[in-house]
Amino acid sequence: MTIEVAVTAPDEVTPAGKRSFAVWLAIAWVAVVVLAAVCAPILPLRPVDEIVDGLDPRLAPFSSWTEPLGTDSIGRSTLSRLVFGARQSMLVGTVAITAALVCGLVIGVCAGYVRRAVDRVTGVVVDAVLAIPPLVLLLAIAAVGRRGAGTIALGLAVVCTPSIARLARAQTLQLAARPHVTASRSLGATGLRIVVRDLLPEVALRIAPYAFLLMAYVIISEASLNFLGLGVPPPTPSWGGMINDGRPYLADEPWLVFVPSLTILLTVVSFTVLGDRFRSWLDEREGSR
Amino acid sequence: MSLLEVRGLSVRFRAAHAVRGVDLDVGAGECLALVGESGSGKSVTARALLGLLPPTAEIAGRAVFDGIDLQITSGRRSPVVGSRLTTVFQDPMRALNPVLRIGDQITEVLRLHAGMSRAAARVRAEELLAAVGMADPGRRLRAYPHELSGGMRQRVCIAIAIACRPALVLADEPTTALDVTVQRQILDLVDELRRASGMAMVLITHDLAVVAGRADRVAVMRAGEIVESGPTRDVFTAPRHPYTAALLDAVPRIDGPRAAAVVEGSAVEGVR
Amino acid sequence: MTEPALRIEHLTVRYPLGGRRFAHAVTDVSLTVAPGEIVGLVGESGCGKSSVARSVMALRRPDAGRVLIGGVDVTALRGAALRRARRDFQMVFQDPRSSLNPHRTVRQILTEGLAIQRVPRPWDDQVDDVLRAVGLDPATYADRRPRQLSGGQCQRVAIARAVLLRPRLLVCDEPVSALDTTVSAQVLDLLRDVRDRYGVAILFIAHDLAVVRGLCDRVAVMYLGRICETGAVDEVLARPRHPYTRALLDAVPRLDGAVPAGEALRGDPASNVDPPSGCRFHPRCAYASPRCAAEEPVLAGEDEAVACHHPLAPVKAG
Repeated sequence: MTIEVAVTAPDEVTPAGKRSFAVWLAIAWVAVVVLAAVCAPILPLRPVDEIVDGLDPRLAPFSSWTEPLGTDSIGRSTLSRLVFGARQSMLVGTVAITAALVCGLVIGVCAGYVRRAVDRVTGVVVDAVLAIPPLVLLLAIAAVGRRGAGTIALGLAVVCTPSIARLARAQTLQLAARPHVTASRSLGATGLRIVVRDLLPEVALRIAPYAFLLMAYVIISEASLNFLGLGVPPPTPSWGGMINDGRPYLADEPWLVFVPSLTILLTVVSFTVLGDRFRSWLDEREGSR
Repeated sequence: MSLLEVRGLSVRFRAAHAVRGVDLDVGAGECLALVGESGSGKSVTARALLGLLPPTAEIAGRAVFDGIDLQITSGRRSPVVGSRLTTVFQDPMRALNPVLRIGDQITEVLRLHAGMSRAAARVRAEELLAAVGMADPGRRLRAYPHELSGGMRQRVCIAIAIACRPALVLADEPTTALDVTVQRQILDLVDELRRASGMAMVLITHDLAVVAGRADRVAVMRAGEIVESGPTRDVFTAPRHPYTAALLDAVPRIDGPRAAAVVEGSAVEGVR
Repeated sequence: MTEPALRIEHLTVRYPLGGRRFAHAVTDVSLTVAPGEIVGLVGESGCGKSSVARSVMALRRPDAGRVLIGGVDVTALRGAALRRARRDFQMVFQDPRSSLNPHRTVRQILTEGLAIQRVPRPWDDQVDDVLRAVGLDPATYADRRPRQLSGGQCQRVAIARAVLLRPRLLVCDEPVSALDTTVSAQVLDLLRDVRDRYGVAILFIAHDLAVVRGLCDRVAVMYLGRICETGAVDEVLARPRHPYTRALLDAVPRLDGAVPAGEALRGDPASNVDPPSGCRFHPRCAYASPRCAAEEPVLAGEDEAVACHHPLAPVKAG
């Protein structure tokens, strides 16, 4: 057995125990959100557009047993709206990211392996889309399309694809230079075989951590669109929409804004932590090889 | 008394025991070769003496250089390292700072360790480049590492190593990354410098043939231990340990009988 | 007369550097490898041997010249015809570990070639046989992944993969440079064994003359993109004709510590972007004359050939 000595400074800035506590919290929160999103229709929640009788509107959290998170600006259950908003966000996010990953991977890997004309053409298109500020592009798509979740998902997919494509291309360039890819070529493999069997799986694995980070980005973007009123039309609940509804009451009943904001914050941070940890794990795996 | 005396050097990295109980002696002006294959622990030994191991390494043992305790167990670099005990590494491209000119990298050492003024250091730097056989040293001072060939870069690293007239130079695979004709130039240069200044050397390499002509004594390492040591000629003509014999048998010969005896795979695997 | 396993004819490879500048990696190189012969191609860094390897393996189309493997001009083939022809020539790489797909088992790595070249099943026996031929027990190793193998074992798998398709020619690009001495000796023995067992010709690219001496039948020495000298290995090493070959030999350290008679070669090789006029070696040659700077020497000779105006020993005529 060869003992490989990496004579570099240790890369653990935080002690291992402290780091994994944050990761466990992140996993727990994401699990809660995803479960809530998936199970929303069967959970014992009040319907999202029903005004709760017996309770004041804009009720603070923890002041009622039946509505632990209080009520919103016109008296609807905050908890219900938060859960169904989660469903909304997770759905849009997952669809958008999956589409971006698939398109970005295919474009990036093909450009990175085939090079020449394919690379030049896709490069121009990708750079052009990247040059447009993402929020502006989202606003444009949202303004043109039919208001709803589908448009948001499409817009987000368009915004995220170029970054994935560039990442995939960079990884492909690096991987394609490796001797085992040349070996496949020498055996007589077609380009398609090499791309599908040798490159795509490895590149997909390396890009995977960015899916988590992109999810965080997508949630914020989606919330922003809804906050600006360009997302799903009411009465469909959304986190961004809830913040917008609570905005006039910020001075006297700040919880209307804080509760959805805190939810967004926790979700975004959790995805970021998970993505980061995934990336570290991949780096370690790469280093030990 | 030896110039460098190492007793019971031991290095552990979490589970792996990289170096176990190594004893070394290097006399003044002597060249000791430390040979072994990958994983034998020879580079880790060198880095332990230089204080270049990561903080996760557990170091035990004692090393005394010219009467000074190197305090290797602390893991920190001793103050004599860099001036009286210097080193040449394998890859000159990585040992040199790519964004600084050669001249600046040499004068840095002179100003830091020998306390020279900037002007005096520049003069000395030019002398050093001439001493290591660089043509047109004055102009080369202003060159960047990437503008030089591999052999020239290694000459610069040697110049940096001998700048403060060290008593001992530790060379860790100094010619492994170089072409064979350049390797000969560099090794000849090092021999010449040693004759002129009387400095001692620890030459770490996997290439037994390089050791044969250049080292006075040799220590053979395997799996963290020294399995055999002694004067080079004795060890090479009459090795006592089976691993040394196997290693010598496996070296491809440019002279003598052509096909080496076919070494049974399993036999050598077992010895490893 | 049987067709040579490999015939390189006037191969020229150059890499564009922008503007009208080129890196002339290989210039007018011709070389023949007979069936079952092991020919060494030796040179230091920048001599072009890797570019020769890539052109022979049809991984890069040459700028001039052609490569014939078993009589077939692979430089003229394209697409599916080229892919089918690849069965006849395979390669072993310098870094054994990275030449194997890290996510696959040994068996999967070996059957990949069989699948691509549509070799009829069953495959298991063929895989087991070739693993045994390279000294690896199939029961132990077939289901391992590269990270569970040592460097030497990885190289054995790489050789097995190459040989499994029964190629006419094996191109080995510095296959033992990254291995320890003891392991490298075993791999060299294995290559000789493979040649004896399968009759495959080997083009063995190396920088180490001592290694070439132990394995090769003939050797060709390259400098700055051209061949300086070719001949039987014992002949060339005992009586080098080209001054560069002599310098290369003198530079190889000897295990008995003997000091070579000749002076060390001075300076560094010139760049191949702007090679010296006439004979490329003349700026560093101790025997250079005005003719050397003016006129490019031509490779002359039959079995022993040298490209030099003042060879150190005469070339046998005919």
